[in-house]
Amino acid sequence: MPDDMNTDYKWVGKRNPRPDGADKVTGRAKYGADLYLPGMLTGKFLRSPHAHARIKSIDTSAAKALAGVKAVVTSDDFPDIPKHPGPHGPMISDFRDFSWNMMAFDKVLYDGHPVAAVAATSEAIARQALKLIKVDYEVLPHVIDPVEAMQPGAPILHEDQYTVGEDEKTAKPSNVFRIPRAEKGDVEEGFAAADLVIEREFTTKAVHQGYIEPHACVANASDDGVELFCSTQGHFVFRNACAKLLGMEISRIRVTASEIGGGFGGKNNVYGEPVAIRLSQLARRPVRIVMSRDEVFRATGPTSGAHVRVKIGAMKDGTITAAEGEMTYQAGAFKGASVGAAMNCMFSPYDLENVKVWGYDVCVNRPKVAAYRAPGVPMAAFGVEGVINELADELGIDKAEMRLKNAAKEGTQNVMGLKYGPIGFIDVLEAVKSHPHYNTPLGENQGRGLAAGYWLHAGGMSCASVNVSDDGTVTLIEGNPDIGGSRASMAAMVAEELGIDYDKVRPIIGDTSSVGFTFLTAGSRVTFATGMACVLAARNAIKVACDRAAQIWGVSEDEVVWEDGHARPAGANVGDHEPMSLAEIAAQAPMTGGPIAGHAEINATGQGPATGAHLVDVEVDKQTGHVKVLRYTVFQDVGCAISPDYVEGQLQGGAVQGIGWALNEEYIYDDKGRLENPGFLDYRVPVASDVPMIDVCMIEVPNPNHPYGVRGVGETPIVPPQAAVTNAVESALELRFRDLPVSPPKIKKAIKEAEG
Amino acid sequence: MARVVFMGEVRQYTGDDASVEIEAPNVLQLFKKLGALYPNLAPVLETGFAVAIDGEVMEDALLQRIDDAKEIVLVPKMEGG
Repeated sequence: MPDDMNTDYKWVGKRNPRPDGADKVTGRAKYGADLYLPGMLTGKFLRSPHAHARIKSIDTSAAKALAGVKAVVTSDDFPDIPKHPGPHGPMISDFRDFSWNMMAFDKVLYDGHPVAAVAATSEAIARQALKLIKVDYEVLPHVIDPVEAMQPGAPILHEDQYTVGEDEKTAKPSNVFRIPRAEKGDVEEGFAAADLVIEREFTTKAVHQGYIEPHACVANASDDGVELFCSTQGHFVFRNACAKLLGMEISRIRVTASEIGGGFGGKNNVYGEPVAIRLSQLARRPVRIVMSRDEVFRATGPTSGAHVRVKIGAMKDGTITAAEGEMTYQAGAFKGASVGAAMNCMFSPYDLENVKVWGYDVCVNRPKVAAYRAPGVPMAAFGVEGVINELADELGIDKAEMRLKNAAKEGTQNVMGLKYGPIGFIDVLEAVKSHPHYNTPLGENQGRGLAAGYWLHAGGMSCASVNVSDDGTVTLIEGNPDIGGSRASMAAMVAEELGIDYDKVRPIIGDTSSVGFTFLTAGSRVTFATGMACVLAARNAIKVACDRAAQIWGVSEDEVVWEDGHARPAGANVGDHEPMSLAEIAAQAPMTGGPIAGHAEINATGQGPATGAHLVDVEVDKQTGHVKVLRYTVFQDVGCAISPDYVEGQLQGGAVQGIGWALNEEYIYDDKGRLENPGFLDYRVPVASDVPMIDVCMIEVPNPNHPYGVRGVGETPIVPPQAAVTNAVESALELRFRDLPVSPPKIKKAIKEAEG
Repeated sequence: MARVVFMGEVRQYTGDDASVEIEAPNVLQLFKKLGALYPNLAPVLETGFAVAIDGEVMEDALLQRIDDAKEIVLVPKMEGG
């Protein structure tokens, strides 16, 4: 890759060192478990051993009597929140679900569901106390698979849940929360016009985000309020959720985001944080809760396992005439599978006249699913891209050409009504075709796969403050936890605007009391939305600086311009004034009106979609079924890579997570609904030795709605890998696979069956 | 006057109407008029829809002016990882 992506700028598009880098590699950075306070207690959860059971009684008396135990809580210690979706920042959430997921109410709904928690002076005492809590369960039939959960007679998780749109007076309770649908054109007419129609069913397993840092927090309650330090993708969202779940005023809770060791959507929602606060309130001492890996797997969000049916019709020249997709997604114990996002994105790389999509959001006895990079989309794209590859093979058309023939372009309107502005999918596919990887010869037992992906991205609320110090250095305060190097990108944009050196900008993630509400670090929104807030805050600071220069020179404000880090006269007739740097203006600030600062509070819109394609070569060992990934290239329209190093990291990380999803990862349950592989030894994520260097080809088609052309980049790269890797295995073996993961036992079985 | 398009699941609340012409200065007023026209639609509007105004998605934009908008589509909100 080139060293710099954009030669028009001094700091944007350059490979600037990340401000948090040294602290992270030297161990100084503080993660969720790294805060120690005097008198701090250890919090621990008692979790359900059953997939589905009614709680007849809980006796905590013996635990409370144990020396060293300072507090014990059950659902009785939290407000009884009515079932009702309500505002949660910019989202709509049903806080009864949050509450019952945080601490089981009258039923446990999955293996690992919390039923009680203790705070004690040591971890050993906390563990001993958990053993003293007596829970009397009535074990109920359970259901793990969403298709089974939709059948008549299936165990019902929530007796008061009816499918949206059903009349509650006449309908029966259902595990199906909703069945969203969308349609464009006339699919029947489209299929009738096709020369070839292929319809296939695909399945994917629940997979976990696999962040290295477990959920961790420290809560410190006083009479005045609560301070919470935690690993989170959105401390403002956590603050508001804790207030709601605990019946507190929002401003009484101050949340500081720790450094974060990965999230990928799995740290968008609270788990132990409100419980740590309640324990701290009862014990009147700080309480720290750090989940074990076992707890992370059993009780925090994986993404949905899915059943997907895809039907696509095409003409002999490859033109797609109609497409149809049906999705059945596991929601886990509470509603909320990402069916809507999947519907929005699954066919959206393509310019199609006739499309019909619908899906089922189905509750099952598993942990409530959470977002995971482009939530919901990889499973659907696995089916769509698989069928497109099969169509291309059957029609004898090159796979990139097949996609080019149908590629979305500016003006294309997707099935949900979104009309695209500039979009780089054609550029992406042209880059694939012209890349040396595409035509490099393959060896024996080797295959090459191609697949594409799309994600819409999020905008939303963001705040930023630019404070100029007397020496001209700048403190930038913004409100998004930095997961992927966003501080570097924010500092680069502010330095570019102010015309000062990158290392003169010190970016800080403000706590919830020091900067305005800023939505999650999620949906690949941060560099777009919060970046826009930082740019506007810098421009507002420049206005103040120009006003000061104008007053110093005795001219009007509109006679001063800001260029190359200096206030300058707007023209020769303004007068002969020596340009003033930010540092020179700031040095006079105490005598010329006070601090120089700029702020911005925005609700960003105009996010541009990102499209990508992945090209992968594999070699299959026919004896063992092992798949070795030989070569992998990611192509993506990144809008404008503000920090190319960290954009590449996003693309590489998404690809590697997708490789794990394709080849190894899956939740495995026993016949009692208990998770059998809650650890990294038995849940196999790719490690460095499993993957080659992931090559990256960044294509920049700027988003016109951002000052620097930013599109989000972190979601799209996890959409194509499942289909691309599977397609490579198919090419190597000349067999088809439609059930992930394509693990060695499945490959060996398929080879054996093919050999008869 | 904007044409409001109902796609997919929204139609079960609009008596299968596919679209309606409504004049409103901003999204909030549009939602109020839609809620009055289709009483069952009001709760759905509150549970996670953004709007695509002439193709551009606007989240949480109740005060967004739509005087000159030609087509408005209700779009499910996106979260993300």
